[in-house]
Amino acid sequence: MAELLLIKERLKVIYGRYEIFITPVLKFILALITYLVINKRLGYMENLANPVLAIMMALVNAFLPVNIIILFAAAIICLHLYRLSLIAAAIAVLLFIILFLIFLRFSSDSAVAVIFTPLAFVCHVPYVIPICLGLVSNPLSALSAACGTAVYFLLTYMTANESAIQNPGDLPLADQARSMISGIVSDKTALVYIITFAVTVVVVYIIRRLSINYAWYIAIATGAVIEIITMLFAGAALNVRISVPSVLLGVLLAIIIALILQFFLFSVDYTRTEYVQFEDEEYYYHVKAVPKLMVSATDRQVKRISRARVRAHDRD
Amino acid sequence: MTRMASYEDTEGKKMIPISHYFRSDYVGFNMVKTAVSVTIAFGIVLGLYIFCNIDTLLAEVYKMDIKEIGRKLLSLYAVILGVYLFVSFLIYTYRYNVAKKSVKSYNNALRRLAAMYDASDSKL
Repeated sequence: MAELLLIKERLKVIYGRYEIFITPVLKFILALITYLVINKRLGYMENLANPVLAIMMALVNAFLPVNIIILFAAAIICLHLYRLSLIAAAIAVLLFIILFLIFLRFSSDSAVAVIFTPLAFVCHVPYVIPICLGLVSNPLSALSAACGTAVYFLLTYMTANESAIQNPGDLPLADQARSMISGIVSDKTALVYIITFAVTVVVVYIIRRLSINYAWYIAIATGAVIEIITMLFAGAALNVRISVPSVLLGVLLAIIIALILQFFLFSVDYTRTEYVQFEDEEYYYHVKAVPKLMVSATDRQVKRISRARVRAHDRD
Repeated sequence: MTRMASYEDTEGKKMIPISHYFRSDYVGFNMVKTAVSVTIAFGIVLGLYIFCNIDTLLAEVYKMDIKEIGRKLLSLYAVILGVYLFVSFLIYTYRYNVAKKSVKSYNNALRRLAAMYDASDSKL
């Protein structure tokens, strides 16, 4: 444990020292992964799917606010879908506008979850998202996760039905739109995930904020259990087939990742908890102080104490 | 001073501007923005529904009770708007209270700093 804490302290020192470089690099990596994943899954517009273009856009994103990645990603998705079908692109644009207007404007602080959620689905670890959001954000971040889920299932629908969308035959535009919308809406899997994520985020957040010992551990464990139960119940209620082993495995992975997150963000020593009282001009404070687990990183400085070199012939 | 500068650069970036408003102004302004957003979103969904069912609607437009449909649509819009306005009232009131609390310690620190400057000025 001490070794891990030492590594954490070293990482903190490194991040503090090179934060000006590390933050843009992280944004670059996130943007690049997002664009490459979109290009791999959609990739209908060949010019846009060029990795060099993705790298250039990610470079631009490195120096812009992280929420701009969402804007770029939405634009790329719409352009790819435009090549597939005009109606598909129009539906995607309208969906993005609606998501922004009625959900994302309430959860702009955690809007980056809109990117992380589809990426987590692609990596087969979607259950990580609600537990982590409950730990680091607020209940409104469930809206961002819901938007991310909607976007992922929109893309899944488009890729799964690409031949039907690309060759609609003699179907009028209105019928194409209607069949696409009914296809997207009729898939209740997205709804199961949205309900599960919303319940889990709220439960984890509430427990994490409680003034009890080991609140974060309890929040992670309860969140995991709630996630499994909600997933199964929502699946049964909406007639969606849920693979129990994959849910259990996903939740197990989520617990591991949440514990890593907890180690970096909230490692405290409950055995040394103190209860203090004090006052200022306006309030009396009854404070529970839990000390952070810390190990001071050794700062080794090697100082050479040696005589100046003397040339051989001088010695003689 | 370092802590104050750090606060101004991080959390304070959002909190300080909010604390400059009166609560009613901040909450009211954001509720208006919510109303506009919901209206646009409702318009988009309605437009999409009309576009998808244009054939049926055109064929049956003469049989329809336009007034009744209009009344139903308006009441649906009013219910959705009401729910959203209520939710946005809760969210923005909470955000305002959090911002006020967050800025309070920053303002105290500012006051202490000003007092320190006054003290050093009077010594000179």
